[in-house]
Amino acid sequence: MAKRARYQNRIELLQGTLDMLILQTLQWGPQHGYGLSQLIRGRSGEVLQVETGSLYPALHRLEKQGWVTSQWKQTESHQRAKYYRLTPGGKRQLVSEQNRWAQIVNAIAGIMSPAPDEGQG
Amino acid sequence: MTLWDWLFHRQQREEDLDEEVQTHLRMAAQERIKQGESPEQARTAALREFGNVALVKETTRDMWGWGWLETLLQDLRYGLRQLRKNPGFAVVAVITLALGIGANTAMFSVVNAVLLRPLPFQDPGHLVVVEGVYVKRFVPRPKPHFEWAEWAKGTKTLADISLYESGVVNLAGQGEPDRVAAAEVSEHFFRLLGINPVLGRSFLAAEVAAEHPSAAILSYRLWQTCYGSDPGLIGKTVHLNGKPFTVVGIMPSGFEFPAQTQIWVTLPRNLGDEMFGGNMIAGTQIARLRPGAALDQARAELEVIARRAIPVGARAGNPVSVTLLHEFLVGNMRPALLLLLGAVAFVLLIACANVAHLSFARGVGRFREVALRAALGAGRARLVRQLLTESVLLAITGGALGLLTGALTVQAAKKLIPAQDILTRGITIDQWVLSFTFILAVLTGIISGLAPALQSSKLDLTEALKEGASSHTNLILGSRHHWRGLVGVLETAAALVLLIGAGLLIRSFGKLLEVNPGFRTTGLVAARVSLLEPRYNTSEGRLNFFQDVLARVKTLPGVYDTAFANALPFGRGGGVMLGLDVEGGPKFQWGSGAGAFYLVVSTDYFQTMGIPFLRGRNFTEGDRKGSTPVAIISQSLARSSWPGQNPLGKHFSFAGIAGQSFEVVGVVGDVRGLNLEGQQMYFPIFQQPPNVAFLVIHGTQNSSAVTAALRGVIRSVDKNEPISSISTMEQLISQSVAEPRFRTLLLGIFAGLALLLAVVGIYGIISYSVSQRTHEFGVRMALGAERQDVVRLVVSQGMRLTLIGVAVGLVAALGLTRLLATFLYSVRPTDPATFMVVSAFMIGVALLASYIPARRATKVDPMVALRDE
Repeated sequence: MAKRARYQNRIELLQGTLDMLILQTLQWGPQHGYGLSQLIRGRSGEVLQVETGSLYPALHRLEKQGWVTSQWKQTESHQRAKYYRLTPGGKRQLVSEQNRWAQIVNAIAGIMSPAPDEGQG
Repeated sequence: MTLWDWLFHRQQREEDLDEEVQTHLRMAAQERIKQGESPEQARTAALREFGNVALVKETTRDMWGWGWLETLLQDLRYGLRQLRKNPGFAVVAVITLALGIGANTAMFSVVNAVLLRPLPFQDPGHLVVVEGVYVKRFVPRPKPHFEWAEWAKGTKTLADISLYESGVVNLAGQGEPDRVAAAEVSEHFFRLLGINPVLGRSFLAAEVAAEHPSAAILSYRLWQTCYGSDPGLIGKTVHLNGKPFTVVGIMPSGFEFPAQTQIWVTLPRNLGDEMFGGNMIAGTQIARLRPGAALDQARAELEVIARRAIPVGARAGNPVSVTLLHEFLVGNMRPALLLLLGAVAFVLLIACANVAHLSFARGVGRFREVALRAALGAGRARLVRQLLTESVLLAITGGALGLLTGALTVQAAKKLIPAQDILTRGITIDQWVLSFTFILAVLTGIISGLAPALQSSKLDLTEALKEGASSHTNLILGSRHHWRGLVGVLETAAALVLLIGAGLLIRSFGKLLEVNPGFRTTGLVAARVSLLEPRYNTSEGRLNFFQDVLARVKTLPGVYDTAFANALPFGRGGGVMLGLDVEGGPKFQWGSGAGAFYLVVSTDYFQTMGIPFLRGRNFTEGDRKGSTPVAIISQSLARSSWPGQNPLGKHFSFAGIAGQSFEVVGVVGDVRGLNLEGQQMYFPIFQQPPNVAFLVIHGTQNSSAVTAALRGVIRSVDKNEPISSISTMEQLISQSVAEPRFRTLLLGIFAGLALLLAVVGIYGIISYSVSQRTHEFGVRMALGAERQDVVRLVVSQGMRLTLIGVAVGLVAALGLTRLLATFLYSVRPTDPATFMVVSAFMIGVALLASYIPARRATKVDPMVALRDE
């Protein structure tokens, strides 16, 4: 019961961001779920740990929205795995998410470390 | 995923997802093996890192859409399997719910037809009935128009003002004439309702304006049953009350308004053409509100018109009212129906409580199953949803069965309603009733299942799964005990409220029957005759008929006395209330002055009816046309008109009709069943012979012999004169209380049902508790407790529930029985006797319901009980 609630909170908290991270990561090539979680963890310097309970629902949601497609392929170690690939729509979505992200970062940065105030005189 | 995908590629998807997760786990494990962990360790760690596999899958599946459908199907399958595994529980719950839902379905189908469904007329929301503007229908010859039409012309808020009067006519056929419901209607009647004939036409203006009515329109039913749907009937002649009428049209099937009218004729202009027996006052006036006009505006306008220019004979000073036609037809059915609907809601509430308790008990039995599901990753919401699905499944099954019982009840009840009108004819199971029942079933499922589901899903996993955890009671957390108590209290209270309501009605009904009517009620037979054929147009013609019949009936064996009267107590007669100007009193004013019920009787009436003669003399043969107009008045009229004086020799006249005054020659006792106040005045039949009269006979013989002899006598006097109804006074009285009896019966049935369910509920709660405490009782008895100690222990538990329930119920009843006030006759809604007797009864029954399980508790063998642990 409590566990379930925690999952849901995570999804909600990370929703926009996680989608963006996934799309961003897929930009460098098709990847499977496990690979994605490892990549995100690795590139974030082990800071961002993506819960499977968020990752898989997010992947399936993105697929439903048409931003990624999936295909079963052989891995380098000859296993079958489900690879997700960015679609053109997904690329556009990524661009718009990046812009939004930049705006948010700027906005938050503006609040956290305000530039010397020019308005007051 | 589309619904298509969901339906046909679900399996594929499911396998994909499973494989995806497995791949993930394998890769994670391989990674760890590479880092030097043992395969076993690696697998466990990967699993732990992954989290709850089932839950991840479920959340992912949710993303596909249709997941809820998937879950629902799963829950339904599972629920069905569970119910099959425990058929006893399912059957009891389904029957309980079917009773509750069935009663509600039946009641709602009545409410739906009578109160909710719009009338089948054009724009029925604007049809209104005008009351309080009483107008004289028949005017002295020279005046060419109805006076009511004149005032009607003046209004700006109403259009198509129409008048109708309904009654019964003799329709000549083969053999004895048929008595057929008919209506006299004014010119715009059909246009007002927006109904056109299916065959022929409506009345023409010329037919309406004609000196004597001669056109008739027939109902579809009459056309079908009596004339074999012959289209050639249009233009043919039928005989109504012996007069020829030309059939000009056939109304569409189903249109039989007002009441159950089969024949419509134009409104007569002369008293001699009146079809139903000489009513001087207009029938019902209906009209259509003009666009933009409100009820209040219409009322205000009519008030002004009535005060300014009411035609002669109108009763000035009586309040004018404008009511929606639907409201008018519904009349006092609304409060009665809503009351009964409330009562069945209580029954359903008790049924819910019973099923809820059953589910509690079952939830306890299932605790390990629930715990297992929780351990395997089912969230609490998921568990609750599963349990709720089960209870809704039960409720819908119960609802289906309830719909069936409801439909059968409605079928049966419809046969019990003797005179069906436009509202009650429509009682049926339609799509609204179906939707109502469905929604009710789902709600019932949720209400009866929610609390148990919440309780059952709230458990301590580690404790529950421990092997040998048998004292389940402690596992499903504490408050459950209070829940069960609450259920018991609730149903006791609800049942008590219904029982008190039914008790009050029964008591009131008893008082109604006990009332001394002021006349003998046994050995009386009454027959109604309508003298409407042309030869009875003169008073001599009618008088001759009366005298002939009286003379012959008197000679019948076993007849003591016989008399004619224009109206009988508890019979449907032509009597009216009239205002009086009394000698030495103030001018008559409605609402303040003396009014009395108008009766015309033959000489032996008081003797026949057994009405006590108090002062003065009876009518004699000498009181005939041309002699001094005389009257006999009832005691209360004498008291209110001439308080403290001798009424004999005093005079009075009808308000508004100056010139004719009557001398009081006698005083008799008050009679019930005519008017509420008991103020009555009698006039000799020889001075004012009526068209419609009742022959009343006091005799020794049984009523069937009298009836047969009577028919013979009347046929020998006039072979064309049908007797519309012969009944005994007992039957008339019983008919007059048919409505309160029906109401009492229905509420009694509902209350009985409520009692039954509540008793089963209390029994269930106590026996369950006994079964849970077997071990405890075993210990107690091993330690020396006597049987009666155990009995006392169990019964006192039941009594605690019952007493709290009775207390709550009494408080609720004190508030709720006020709604019954209008239906009670000389019983107060808070009648202490009823409250006490019903409470005692309830407590007694509950005592019994808890005593039976208590007895079982004493049969516990201490050894067995202890070993059980």
